[in-house]
Amino acid sequence: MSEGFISSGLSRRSLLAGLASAPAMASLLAGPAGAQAPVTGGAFTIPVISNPALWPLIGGVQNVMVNRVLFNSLTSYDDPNQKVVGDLAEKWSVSTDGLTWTFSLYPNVTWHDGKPFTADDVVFTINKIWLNPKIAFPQRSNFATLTGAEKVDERTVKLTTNVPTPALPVMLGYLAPILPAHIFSTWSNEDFTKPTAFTKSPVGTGPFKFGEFTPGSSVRLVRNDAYFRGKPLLDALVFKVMPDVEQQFAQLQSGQLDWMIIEPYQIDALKGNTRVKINDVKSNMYFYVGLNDAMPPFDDKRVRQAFSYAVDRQAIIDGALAGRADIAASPITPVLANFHNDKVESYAIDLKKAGELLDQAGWKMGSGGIRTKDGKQLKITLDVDAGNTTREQIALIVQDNWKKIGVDTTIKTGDFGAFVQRMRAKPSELQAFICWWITAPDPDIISYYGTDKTLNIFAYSNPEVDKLLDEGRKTIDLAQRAKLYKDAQVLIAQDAPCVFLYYAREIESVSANLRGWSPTLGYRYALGQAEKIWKAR
Amino acid sequence: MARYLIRRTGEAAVLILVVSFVAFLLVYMAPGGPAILLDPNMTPEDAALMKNLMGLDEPFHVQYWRWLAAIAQGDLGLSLSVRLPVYDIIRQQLPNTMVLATSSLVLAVAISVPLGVIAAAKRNGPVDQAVALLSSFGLAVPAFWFGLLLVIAFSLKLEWLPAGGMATDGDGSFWDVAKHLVLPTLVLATSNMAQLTRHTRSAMISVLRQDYVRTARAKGVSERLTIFRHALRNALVPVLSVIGLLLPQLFGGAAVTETVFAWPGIGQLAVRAAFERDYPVIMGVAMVASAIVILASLLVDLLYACIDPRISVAGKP
Repeated sequence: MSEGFISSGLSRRSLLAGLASAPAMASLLAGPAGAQAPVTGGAFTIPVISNPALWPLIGGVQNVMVNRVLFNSLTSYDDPNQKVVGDLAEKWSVSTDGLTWTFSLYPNVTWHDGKPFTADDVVFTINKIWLNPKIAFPQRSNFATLTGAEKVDERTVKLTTNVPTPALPVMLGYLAPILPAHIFSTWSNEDFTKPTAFTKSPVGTGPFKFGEFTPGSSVRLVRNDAYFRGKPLLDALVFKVMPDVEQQFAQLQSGQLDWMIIEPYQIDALKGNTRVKINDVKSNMYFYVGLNDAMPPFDDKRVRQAFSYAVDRQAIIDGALAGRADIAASPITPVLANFHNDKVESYAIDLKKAGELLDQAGWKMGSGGIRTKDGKQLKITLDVDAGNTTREQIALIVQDNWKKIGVDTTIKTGDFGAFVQRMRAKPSELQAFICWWITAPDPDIISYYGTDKTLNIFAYSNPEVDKLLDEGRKTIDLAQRAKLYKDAQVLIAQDAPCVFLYYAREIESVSANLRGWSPTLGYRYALGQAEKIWKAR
Repeated sequence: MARYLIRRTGEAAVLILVVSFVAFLLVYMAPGGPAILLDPNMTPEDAALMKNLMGLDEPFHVQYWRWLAAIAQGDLGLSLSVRLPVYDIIRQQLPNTMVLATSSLVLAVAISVPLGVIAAAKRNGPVDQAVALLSSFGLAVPAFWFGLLLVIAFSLKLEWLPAGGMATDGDGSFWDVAKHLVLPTLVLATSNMAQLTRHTRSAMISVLRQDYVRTARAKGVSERLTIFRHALRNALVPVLSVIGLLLPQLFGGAAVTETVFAWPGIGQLAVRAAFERDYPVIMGVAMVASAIVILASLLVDLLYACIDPRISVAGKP
């Protein structure tokens, strides 16, 4: 359901940059400068952390960014209106039983090699790739209820699911590009493992097409004059390979880059730089201190609640995030305004209450200010990935907060990839850890909070929550669905499966002369609308 | 000579095989696994499928043997992350590393040899001490930090040089690349310069004590001629072997320098591949780099003979 902390593991920086949503209307040509006539030409230059794969069937931030421009999906997302909008699909409808979806496709869409895009491409992509158990497709779990696609006519496709799936339109716009059947129909399953014929010169439908790939340097995408939404304004999009974040930042400051996601500590360095400006962009992302609910002492709900009461979230936001975040209390972010519940237990800092809860749980204050129970001291290991200044700062604040209620916390830092692997292991041997989730703009969180579900890394379990979440993912009616999720959030907050820290924003720094770029929910959906970007002179 | 060459080539082949085994084992044992398998969104079934399709679920000896068999046919495999042949990627990025390594080596030699000679000639004088201080700095300063400082100074404050990359988008002329080359060359050369200066100095000092130098001086040859004609040539033999030893360091240093400056070489490639556990790329770079280093040390050994006629490659007096 989410892209979570994302695939290509280590691009910690890019990790921050989340999933995004399509600023479909509003953004059009009106940049911050207002009603200036668009200028054509020029290039938009952005960094990627390593060589991207021009192969849409694997995750990884650098890959997703490039492929977002090369390919289209059936749908996209319009954040200000919280609405799924069409991408390759012009409109769609769902049958009364909620099991059959009919999508009408835009006419006059062509592949980069000139061949027409038709319903066959959609049917092929879904039946032969997404639903083919012999081909690896990372987003398959998003389509667990999808059973097949069928061509009605050249411009109409019918998708069927085995249970009503209200999230389907959102998921179709989430890292689910439609691929060219005329190229892949002759491929065997094995060919998909060695797709070099395609990765050397990929063919999509997007606003920019493949230009040149210089390994280690850049991928250059060039204007697709035949783009069905109109000819793009820029000549090119250049993805520069830059593994080092400080180098990216230097090039941003000197004007060699047009955009990057920055860390809060970098904001000060940009003061007075007229070349760039800073935007806070909403994101469907929240940070937490994960607790292992199956492992002592966190198998006791009171202990988890106490640990939540002790954390000073405002200090984290002010101290480590330059104030650019909002306190979090539940796993459905305010971005999903229809579903977010702001009336849940928020664990505003209360050390007295925390102490009482720990006392009740049997953890009495012992010598040296450390609580003990049955002769054992309250010692916690807090894992955090090494190298990200912001998260390391958060770990220190949390350690200090917990000390105040008699907890001896040891911070352990390590390689991100190994960290992720340990986090996903079942049963997990992590006790407490700082991480985050980025999810598609849909409230379905059953994979994260449902008992024994794949992404339930807190080992959280509450049968009542299971029921609500299961109901929620099948309920088409918006009001009913919202109620189910709001109820679930109340229960989850009470159980404190983790310490919810904050709803994050993407802090992006962009060239001051960039126009037509106004992401409202992260940059990726905005990249999907790259045809609208231009640069003022 | 021919026998010597054959023997050395055989040794080199064995050495590369050993390197490949050790590298493969290290890569195999590293925790974390390929980044493309870490996508949390991926179902365990899909992760297992992907692992299986890429042959990563097989035991060590099977994987190593398959890799070895492929490489025997010149096939370095497919990058897990980029889905392009490793050979293609290395072929395009290696020349960039060569450019950077060569320019820093030339810079290091051009500065350190004269510096070392002067320091030796003016032993314990203020110049010698200044050189000693400078080389301590060169050895001690961390490349990533030094690189960052240079970027801040020359790119952001003075705006004289580009912050990184190898060429301006749409340019790539000789002068454009040269401008991009300045800072990374300087950083990569710094630590080598320090070592080379010290070695040149000590080699010169020991040569200057030799009888023939005393003889030269006694017969009234000028000090300048004594140093440059008589002493330097002999001092260069150990210096040359140090240069040979510096090559692996040059590759190691390139990893950091290329990352800091976004220089599109195989050093940067190796660093990213290591982070992403892109096994075929890690192995490919390791093989190419070790082959180059081994080849270069062989060349250095052969060069000895040219510089110092007393050394014979055949090992006979």
